[in-house]
Amino acid sequence: MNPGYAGRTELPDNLKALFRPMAMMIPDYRLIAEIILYSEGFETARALSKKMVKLYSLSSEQLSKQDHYDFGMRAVKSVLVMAGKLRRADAETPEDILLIRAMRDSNVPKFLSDDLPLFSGIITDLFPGVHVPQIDYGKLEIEIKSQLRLKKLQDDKKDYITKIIQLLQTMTVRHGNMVVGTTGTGKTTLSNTLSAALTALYKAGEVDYWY
Amino acid sequence: MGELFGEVNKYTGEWTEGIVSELVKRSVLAVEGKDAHHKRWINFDGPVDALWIENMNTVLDDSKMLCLNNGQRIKMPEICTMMFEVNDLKVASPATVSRCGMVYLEPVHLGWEVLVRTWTEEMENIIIEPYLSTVSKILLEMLKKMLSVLETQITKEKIQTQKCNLVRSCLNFMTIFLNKERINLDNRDKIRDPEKTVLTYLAFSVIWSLGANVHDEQRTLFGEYFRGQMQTKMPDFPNGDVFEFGINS
Repeated sequence: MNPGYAGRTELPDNLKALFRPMAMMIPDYRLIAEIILYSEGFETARALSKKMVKLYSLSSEQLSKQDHYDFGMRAVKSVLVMAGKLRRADAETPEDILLIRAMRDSNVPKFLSDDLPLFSGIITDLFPGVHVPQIDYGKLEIEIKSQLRLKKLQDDKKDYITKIIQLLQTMTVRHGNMVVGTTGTGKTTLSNTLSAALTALYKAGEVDYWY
Repeated sequence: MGELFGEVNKYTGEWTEGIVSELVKRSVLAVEGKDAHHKRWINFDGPVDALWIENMNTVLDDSKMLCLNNGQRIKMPEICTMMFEVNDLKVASPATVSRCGMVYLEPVHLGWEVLVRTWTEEMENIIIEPYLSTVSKILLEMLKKMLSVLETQITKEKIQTQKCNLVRSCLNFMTIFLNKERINLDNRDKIRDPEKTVLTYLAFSVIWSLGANVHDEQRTLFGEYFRGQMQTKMPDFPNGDVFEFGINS
């Protein structure tokens, strides 16, 4: 039961009287984050978990309220698992950069363009002086462009191509994905293009992608 | 609901497979086939309703288990990805939202100019140069001005629209009209003044796409703005109520 929670119904009073209520508390995210980070192989887990929880609480306070925003436990967990994946794939990079990358890759796709500068502001406040390099999706980007051209669409909208790549990024973390946007923002084209581009890359014999 | 997830017939007790359950079962079988490593996306294109999406909660969890009405539990294979394409998440519960990765698209990412550019490319064999580039240039300019007017001054519309809706319908009009005229090399002689013809159609299309949704009170205002714009391109654009205009071919 979850009083006042969207999508659930309230239990009628006569039934409620027959049950014993038990309140649940929001757990301490920091401790959970720290433990997961340790188990994923991070050495500076304590400091990182502090910053990460701070980032999430600041994000939920400072950014605009949107239906599709979520800074709860599940989001934290998925970021941590993603950071762990990055850590194992790339042991050379400093841990804080990996964590920022994971947080950025899993959060930026869903932000409104107005919230983006705020979010990067929070990141630079919490991790001063850390520069996170953008990952280069060279071949994928070229393929996406050529797929767009094949459909006689324009290929010079940088933002849109970034969104296509972001969909792929999100898909590597989650197995449930939502593309949200009003009519005419190109939701269907987005997923179709990504699937066409990935298929084309696969047929071309590329192996390091997520076809 | 029954169609989506499958249902048990009340009278015969028979189980009818639903779309989702069927798709998931197929991908489970596919894992053993020769295309085992092919990724599979199950794409739900349409508005989210708490009614059916709540049933997906178990699938979207880490357990990836689809629970059906008849008590079957199907484990979705690793290669499977659920995708949703939705307008908004007003009715979705936080439980669903937190289970999904989100990619948010805004009109600013794409803009409407690309529509015009794509249209121009499509029209290449219908209108010949130099008219095509003229018309697309004027169209871009015109739409930009009129859309900003619509955004700032004539804000009362009958049905809520997006910029790209309006532009799309304007371009559809243009396609229909210009297809009829077919200003190409063959019948160049037939049309006395191609540029004027094209511009007239352009004016008509813009009036009945961008202007069509304007509330009655503001139609005259729209007409005035539009005439002001149009007369800079086409000096003999007539005065009068633009919504009463027709094209005399």
